[in-house]
Amino acid sequence: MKLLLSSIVLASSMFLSAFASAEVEVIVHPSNGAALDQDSIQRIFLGKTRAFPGGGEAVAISAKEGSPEEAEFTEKVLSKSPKQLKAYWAKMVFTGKGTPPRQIDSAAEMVKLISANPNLIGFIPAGTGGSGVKVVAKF
Amino acid sequence: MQKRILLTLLASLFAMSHVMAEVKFNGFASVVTGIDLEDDTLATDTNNNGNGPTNDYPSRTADNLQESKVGLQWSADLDDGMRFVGQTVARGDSQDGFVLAYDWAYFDFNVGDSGKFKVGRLRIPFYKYSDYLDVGYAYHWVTPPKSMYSLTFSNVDGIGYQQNFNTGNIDHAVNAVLGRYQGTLVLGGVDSPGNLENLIAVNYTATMGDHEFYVAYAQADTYIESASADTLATFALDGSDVLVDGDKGSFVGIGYKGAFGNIGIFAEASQVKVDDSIIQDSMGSYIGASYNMDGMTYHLTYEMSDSEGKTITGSSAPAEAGLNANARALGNRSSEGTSNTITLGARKDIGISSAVKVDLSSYTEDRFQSAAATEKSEQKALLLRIAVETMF
Repeated sequence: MKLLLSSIVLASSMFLSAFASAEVEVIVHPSNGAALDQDSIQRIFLGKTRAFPGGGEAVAISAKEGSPEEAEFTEKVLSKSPKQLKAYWAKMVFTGKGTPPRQIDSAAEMVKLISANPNLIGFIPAGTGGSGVKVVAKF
Repeated sequence: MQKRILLTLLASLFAMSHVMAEVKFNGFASVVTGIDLEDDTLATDTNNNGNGPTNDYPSRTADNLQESKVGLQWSADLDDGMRFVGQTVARGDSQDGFVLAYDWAYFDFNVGDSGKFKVGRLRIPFYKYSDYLDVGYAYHWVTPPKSMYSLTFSNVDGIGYQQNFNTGNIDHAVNAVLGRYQGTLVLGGVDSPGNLENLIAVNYTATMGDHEFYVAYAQADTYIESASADTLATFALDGSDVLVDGDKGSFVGIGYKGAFGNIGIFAEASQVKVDDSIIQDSMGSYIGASYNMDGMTYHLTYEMSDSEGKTITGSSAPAEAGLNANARALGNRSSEGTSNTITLGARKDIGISSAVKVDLSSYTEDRFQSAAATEKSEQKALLLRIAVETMF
């Protein structure tokens, strides 16, 4: 019985940690004071606005298509499936209304870019940011 | 001449963009095969060159060219929020093979946080699917309903402005263009030199979650050169009532598309008129529903069109009778009357950027089939089409 219980606890903690490691953090430059909620992050990443809520140019950058953090961000923050996102950008591109965010090869590269540019906004696996960037939301 | 200027512009831009900007390429392709399964095409059906009544598919013979197309779009981000966008589309043509056209070639400039000013060759924002009419991947039919998408031109050379804003959880978009179209227009099923001057079009779209609604209005001074209309005009009391000589043409459209879970609902309606001319007043509309399941979309659409001829005063009673009979036959695409189409179709998505579609459309029309006809008669078509779509 004890063995069963402890294995349940072990299994569930593993399950939880798997969940925890899949979290993504939305990051900006430390000087960026914009109040960002899911809706405003969505609007910037879907090309509906080019400004942060309080003003200032906003340029979204994304992780590589198909990477775990990109899949997580697309599902949790943008509330779309990969296919829906692809179809959305196809419409935006072929109507001349916008182009998808530039894709950055690695989280380290994304942190480096954002720490050097107050206009950028991106996302990384939770806990990988360091002091050069500010975490504005966690999903 | 216009083409040469455009080519020079494109070439110089390419040269420039190599040095200064990153050029992005996107493309799409559709291969469509169709056959009209009915074989009752009327010999007197002069308006459609012996093809089916509402489509250009021949009876009982498969045609795999006329709705196929390949498109390439490139955009170059220049400095200071300026960008160049070009789109060329090669469309299949049963007579001429693939014909290449520059559909878009414009510069756009960011204005404020969510505005865009455009100058060049732009798409006219008539319909829900106007902007990506050629991108078959973006919709579930093989082609959008023809009763509604009946205008034979879709671009304007001029300027445009687009503004997005939001109130609460509603996204609003206003898209306006001003310019001129010079090219082929169709009168009585015959391609004729046409000109639309002072063309103004405004489209307002509101999006709330999965629900989208739009209204559109357009007008232009319409010119179509037609020998048949010139001849008819000589029998009319006021010849200019027949001719299409700078008359005001207007377009009004409205549409909705929404999703309730796996179920989609869609409808559009439009009216086209050209005052004081031989062109009939026409209305087109459709309503339909779709169901998504495991990467498949099943859909059903009912569409209808209604063309009403004008009564033109003749210089004498017999002239008037002949005149009005001919006026009916000179309607756009087909003569005065009504038609309806029921389309049943399925789409299967393959991966995330390709799809295969099958549509079966049953078409019935009740029209004056020629100038000689004294009463309306019925014609039918049963069109089966298969399309493979991709984008890259």
